[in-house]
Amino acid sequence: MPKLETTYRDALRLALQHAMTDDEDVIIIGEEVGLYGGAYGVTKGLIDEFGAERVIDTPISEAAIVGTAVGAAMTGLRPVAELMYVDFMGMTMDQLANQAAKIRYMFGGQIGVPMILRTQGGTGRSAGAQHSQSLEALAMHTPGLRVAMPATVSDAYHLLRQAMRQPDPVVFIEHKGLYTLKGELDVDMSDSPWGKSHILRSGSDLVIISYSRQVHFALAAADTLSAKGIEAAVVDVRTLNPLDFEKIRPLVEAAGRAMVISEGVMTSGVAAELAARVSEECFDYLEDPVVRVAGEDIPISVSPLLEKNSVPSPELIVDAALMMLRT
Amino acid sequence: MDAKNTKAGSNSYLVELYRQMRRVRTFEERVGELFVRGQSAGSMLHLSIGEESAAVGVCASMRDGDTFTTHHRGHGIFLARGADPNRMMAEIAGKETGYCSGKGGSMHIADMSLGHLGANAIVGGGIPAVVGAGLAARNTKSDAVSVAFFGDGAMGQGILYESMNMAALWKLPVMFVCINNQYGMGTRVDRATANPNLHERAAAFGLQAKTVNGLDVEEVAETAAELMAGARAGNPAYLAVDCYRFHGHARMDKSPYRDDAEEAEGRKQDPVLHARASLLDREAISGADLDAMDMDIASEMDASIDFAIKGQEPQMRSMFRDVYGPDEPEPEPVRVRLERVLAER
Amino acid sequence: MTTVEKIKLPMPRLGETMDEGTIANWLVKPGDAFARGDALLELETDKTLVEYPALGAGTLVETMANPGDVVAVGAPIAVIETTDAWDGISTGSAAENPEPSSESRKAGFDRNKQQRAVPNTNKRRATPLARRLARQHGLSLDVIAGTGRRDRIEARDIEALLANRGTRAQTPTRFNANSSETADVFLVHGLGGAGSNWTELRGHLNRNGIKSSAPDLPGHGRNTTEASDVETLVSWLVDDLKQQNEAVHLVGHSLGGHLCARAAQEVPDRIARLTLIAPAGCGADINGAFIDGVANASTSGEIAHLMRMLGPKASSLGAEALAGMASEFSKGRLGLLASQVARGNKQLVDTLAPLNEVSSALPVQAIFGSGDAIIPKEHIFNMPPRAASHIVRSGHMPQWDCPGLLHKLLVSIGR
Repeated sequence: MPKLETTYRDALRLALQHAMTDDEDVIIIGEEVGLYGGAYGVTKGLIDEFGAERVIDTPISEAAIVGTAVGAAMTGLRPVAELMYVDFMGMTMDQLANQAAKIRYMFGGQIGVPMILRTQGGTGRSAGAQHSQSLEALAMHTPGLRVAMPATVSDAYHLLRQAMRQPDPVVFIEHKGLYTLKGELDVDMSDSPWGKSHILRSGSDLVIISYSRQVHFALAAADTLSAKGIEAAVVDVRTLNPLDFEKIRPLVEAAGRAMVISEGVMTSGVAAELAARVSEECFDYLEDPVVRVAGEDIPISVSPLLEKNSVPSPELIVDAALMMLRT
Repeated sequence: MDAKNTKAGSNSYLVELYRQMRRVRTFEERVGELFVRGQSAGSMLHLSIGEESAAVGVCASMRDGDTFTTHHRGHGIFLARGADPNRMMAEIAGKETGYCSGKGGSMHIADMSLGHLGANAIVGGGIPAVVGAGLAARNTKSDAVSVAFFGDGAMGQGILYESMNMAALWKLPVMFVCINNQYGMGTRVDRATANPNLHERAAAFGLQAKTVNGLDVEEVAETAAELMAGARAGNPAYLAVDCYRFHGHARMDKSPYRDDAEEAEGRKQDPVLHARASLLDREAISGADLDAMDMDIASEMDASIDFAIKGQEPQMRSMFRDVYGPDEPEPEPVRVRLERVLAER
Repeated sequence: MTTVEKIKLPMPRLGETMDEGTIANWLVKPGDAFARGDALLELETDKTLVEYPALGAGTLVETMANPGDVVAVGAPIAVIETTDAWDGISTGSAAENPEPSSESRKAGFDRNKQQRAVPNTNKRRATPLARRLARQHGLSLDVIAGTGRRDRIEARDIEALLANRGTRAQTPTRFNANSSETADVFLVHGLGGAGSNWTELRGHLNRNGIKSSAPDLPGHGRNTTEASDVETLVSWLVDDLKQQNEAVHLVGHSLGGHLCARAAQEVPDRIARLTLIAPAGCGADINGAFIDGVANASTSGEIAHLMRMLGPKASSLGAEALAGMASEFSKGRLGLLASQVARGNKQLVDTLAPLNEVSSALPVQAIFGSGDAIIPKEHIFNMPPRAASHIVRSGHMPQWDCPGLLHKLLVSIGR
């Protein structure tokens, strides 16, 4: 298959389509995944191609959707459950954290739960406090769950395909602000393994570590900083679990400065974990505290103005870098 | 169980049901002893004494390839599905030789080869898995049925209703079995629900639904067989088995929330003794033969205690194993990380 | 010691709260020989599972406790034969004779604590990287001046100290080692200034692997030589430049700009590039009140007034910094010098002549602040045609107001 120019949304759909073609045990189960085509259109048309027994519309029963996926995964299917908004994760938390995440361990390794929980989060659509959160920290805080957060069109496809080959449950969190993102997709690319971070830009003054949509903000900020004489490296960690620190370490050791960008709220968030990690691992090389540039510790507003300012922006990242480098 | 080789209603069938129930009863008694000896891993031991007919009666209709999940009071169900009491007791003692290598224990025991998708310590937590197993059976054109066992306490959990709705909606080969032992921990069922006819709720979802008295194991088995045959054909079912929990909630619980008179009355609803009396009444087997059977079972279960006590403790190293798949790197132990990041620089 | 001793091995105390321990596993069997350091058994305490290593070579004779046994600290758990001395183990209660490995572990923690306690008690702020460099080179942080944020010691401060000692700091990963392409930058301050004026800019240069030098001129700062005229400064600068190993990128600010142009004229072979920042002597006008102020100010209030003329960053200096400058200025070292630089609002030095001369041989650039209240930015029009000229958004002190941009301009010259 040649390289193609496509969108994040279509890359996700293509990944599902390819996976369902390759393996007839793959099913999609969730609210509005069939006839409606997915609340954000990711599964559009799949029910026509694969039928209602494999693309399963459900009642509004998030806990049972995940619980059903758990049982199906244990009995031979490859379920991709869709949670319309990551904000609904609370409804599913028992099935996700107490069942899916722990079954392999509790049962002494007899069986795993190879399922995907596809969902989306983040701000950008004035969706309000209950439809705009970034709750990846909840999943990352649960041993047994893998967590993938694609930032690019290529990763939308490849991380999803790779997630579906994992032996363990994967919480796959898309960003609602990225569905229309355009980019190149090389379906046959093989040099982008699961669980490895990507260095998207090199720079010797500062290392910016991020994931999901904030990667794009970090890149934009790095361009602005470059015009001001500051060269920032940008790392996309891609998967929060497993977390690849090996590429981050030498960058931070060389630059002596690092900041972590996350849309999730600051306190006890993913940025906090990554910052702690950098501080512990690279302490002797640091010239500044590792700073978190993360979501404010507040709910998300519907007002576009308030919403936009509740999470990091390229401008905030630039300002943070300038403060750090004292220019 | 061997009962499937004998004709329902025959004397030998009832003998087999009795034997299974006695095994459950004796096993549970030994679990209690294990705790008193200080050999159990913890005190989270929920005995199903008084509820044997539900486990044995329902499992009599299950086949190889069928799957099931249980609640935290599920020893009897697992035994009735063919579990090895040695490995069960070892697991309850937290030993490497147990079903889950000592990581699961009484409340998380499981065995994929017997279709046991897991006991669950979250009330209602194992219920939706049978919907998934039902979907898998449907999609793979298998005739397996999947059974969720739970207590009356789970009737208060929303996940049950989500699951029953989906099973009915999609006509899955699924059966929900509510073992109504009258108590959700310390709360009697009439203090938790206004309508004590639990099966009416399931009927409202479009399931075939019945309540059966658990005193008579043959009646339980017969009703379960009928419902399960329907479930296997795509008419999912619900069965409530009325019984009485002879002991407290867990091994440590002395049941101060119920009076002695009620307990004495409840314990008269003894399905094991009822089956024994029936057998003697029908002259299906002699009292001496029944005693001999009970003695054999006692020896078998005594051996399970010895097996558990002699079992190896898990290796410390196993602690980081099986968090993720077998080829995945194990999580880094805190001590290792500390030594790495705090190494002399 | 060659005699074979039979001793009883007691349950060790692993941690202060441990009163008893559980034998988890014997890792050697009776009859087995072991070497020093071999793990004999695994012990479980209320906190953790640990391997218990042999403190000497020997043979396990018998075990006195089995896996799962809970044994009080100090009670015997095995008999061993050994030819080595097992200090602190063979006699006495564990409480009196703490088990050596736990002792050394504790000592290890204490050592760490001490290492961290030193800087804390002295309240020296230093970055982790600077601390590591200091540790590597045996430097005490007490004698190092910090130039970083809130005066904290940064790697460059250690580097500077080591450079003065003729030692290179070993931080190859920390800097881009491409300084061979770039001449060292030699920074010359203006009237009333000091080498420390350049600290932030030097941070930028340093982070990009560019070595810089910023002396205090005679009559200024820590330079003990006095200067009563401009010529003294020129000859001092020329002498200093002659001591540089390689041709430098010479950067002068204000009066320093005049000095640099003059020095470039005198020792052109010592200079690779020339940058003048808000240079004096490139036009007729100057803010005479400022020059008078530098010559005569002695109070914090007067200094604060002067600083407001200098630009936005200077106006925000704290009270402490102002008091320091006041005490410096009140020494009266600058009066004669100032009288040679300006009279009223007219400049007395000429930079344009030497500049015209050197600009034909050297890459030259001139930088003026758009909001300079001391030297008019219009002087940019007097620059020789070969000089690259820039106006930046700043007051009289671009090195304070926009050091990052200044750094970019410095590295861009001649490229």
